[in-house]
Amino acid sequence: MSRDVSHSEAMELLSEAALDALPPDDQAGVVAHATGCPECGPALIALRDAVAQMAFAAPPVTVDPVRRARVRTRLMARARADLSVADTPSVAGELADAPGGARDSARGGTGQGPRVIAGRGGPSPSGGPRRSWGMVAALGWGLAIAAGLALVAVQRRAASDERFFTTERRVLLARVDALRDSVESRDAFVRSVTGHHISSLQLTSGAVRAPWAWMFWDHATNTWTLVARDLPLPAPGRTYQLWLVTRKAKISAGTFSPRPDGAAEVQATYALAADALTAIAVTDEPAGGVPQPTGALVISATANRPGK
Amino acid sequence: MSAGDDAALAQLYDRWSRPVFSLVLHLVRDADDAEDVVEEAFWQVWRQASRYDRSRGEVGTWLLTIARTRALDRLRSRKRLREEPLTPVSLGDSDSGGATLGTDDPAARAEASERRTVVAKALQTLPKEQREVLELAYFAGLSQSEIADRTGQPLGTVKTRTRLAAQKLRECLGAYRNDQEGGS
Repeated sequence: MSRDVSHSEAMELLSEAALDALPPDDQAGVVAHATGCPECGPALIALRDAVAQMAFAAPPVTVDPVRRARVRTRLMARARADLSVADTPSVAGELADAPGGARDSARGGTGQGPRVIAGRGGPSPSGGPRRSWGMVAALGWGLAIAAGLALVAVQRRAASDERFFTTERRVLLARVDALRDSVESRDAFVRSVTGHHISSLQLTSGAVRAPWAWMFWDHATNTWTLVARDLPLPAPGRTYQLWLVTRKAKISAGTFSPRPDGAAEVQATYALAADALTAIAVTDEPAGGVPQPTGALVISATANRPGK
Repeated sequence: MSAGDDAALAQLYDRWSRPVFSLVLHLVRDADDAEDVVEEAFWQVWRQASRYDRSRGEVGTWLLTIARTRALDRLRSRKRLREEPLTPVSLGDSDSGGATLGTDDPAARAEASERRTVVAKALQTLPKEQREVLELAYFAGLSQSEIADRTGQPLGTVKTRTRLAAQKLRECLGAYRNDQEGGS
């Protein structure tokens, strides 16, 4: 459904249309107008392009490589099947279209309409033997074509299976890599909180469901590891941002979102003089983060007395 | 891809699956749902490739728009838009040029990181109120009326802010692209 939208009205609604934020009738009306309007059309395209870039304001995630590979495998299998259906001619269609095929043969056998074979060979009192040979020939053609198609189908299936298992192998290798990465990541995490050069600070909050966190600072590798628990979930369009605070600057150590149970582990690398840190803080910020903290303080710690 | 080249689909997936996953996971907040939505978004692009018109925008824009629409559809079908819990998502890059975080694919993430930086800077140029309506519309899929209800602002104000915000965003990102093209 679409309603008629005037030019001036469409111009007013372009931004909302770019966000798909209009009721369906209005949305369709604006799009329909813009499609044929030399002014609104390019404007809507440009606005849509700009709005689509907001996807990059979503907190980036590290997607499980196994999950990505799994989607890829399914997608490619569907595409192959799609192509296979589109490419494979119908056997019935082939037979019907083939010269001397079943359709011709059947037509010859009905006794109605032009009987080409009988006509070319002269009158035949009964027409029976000629029709029989014609049917046999047609059947032979049909069987040959069917056999050929079956062979092609088998070859295609074999090729498809080979591609499928190649992809599956790739998925399994990706899974092995992912597991190896996971183990290495956990090893690195353990090292980052138990090493010889670690300072630690406990971050606290005054909230009712008090979140808490520990920050581990590995002076040898300049690695910062935040382990947080019981963090409330940020609102839609919001994220948490971790800050290293010195006397001169508030340094962003990245944005993050906790898991549903409120837990989060965050690692960052940043070189800082041993006595430069004055505080650690986590603030609630717009998705994508901000250059300097603007939102509410979620949890923090001063660095006057690091735990080491 | 419109000619039925599945290798093109593979290329598109390899190039865009990360930002698409990030967006969809942020919207649907469930890893399994995100997996379904991402697959369906790419599948829709494959099926409708013949409709894609290069002059109407970048293919990534088209793909992200489809992915967002499908993700919001999924959210609406679950009827729990505002009560969604967050799924486990890993930490991403800082966009402020401060500390650096571990990356799993430096080349692919570098480009995404640059885009994030540009978009974040563009969003930072907007007044807070305009940024808020834009984010509620884009990430929460709220209509203008719903945003008005949520923020307590008159509907006309919300509409004006949305319009100004989208236009400013367009100008900022357009200026960035012009700079890029001029510099390259």
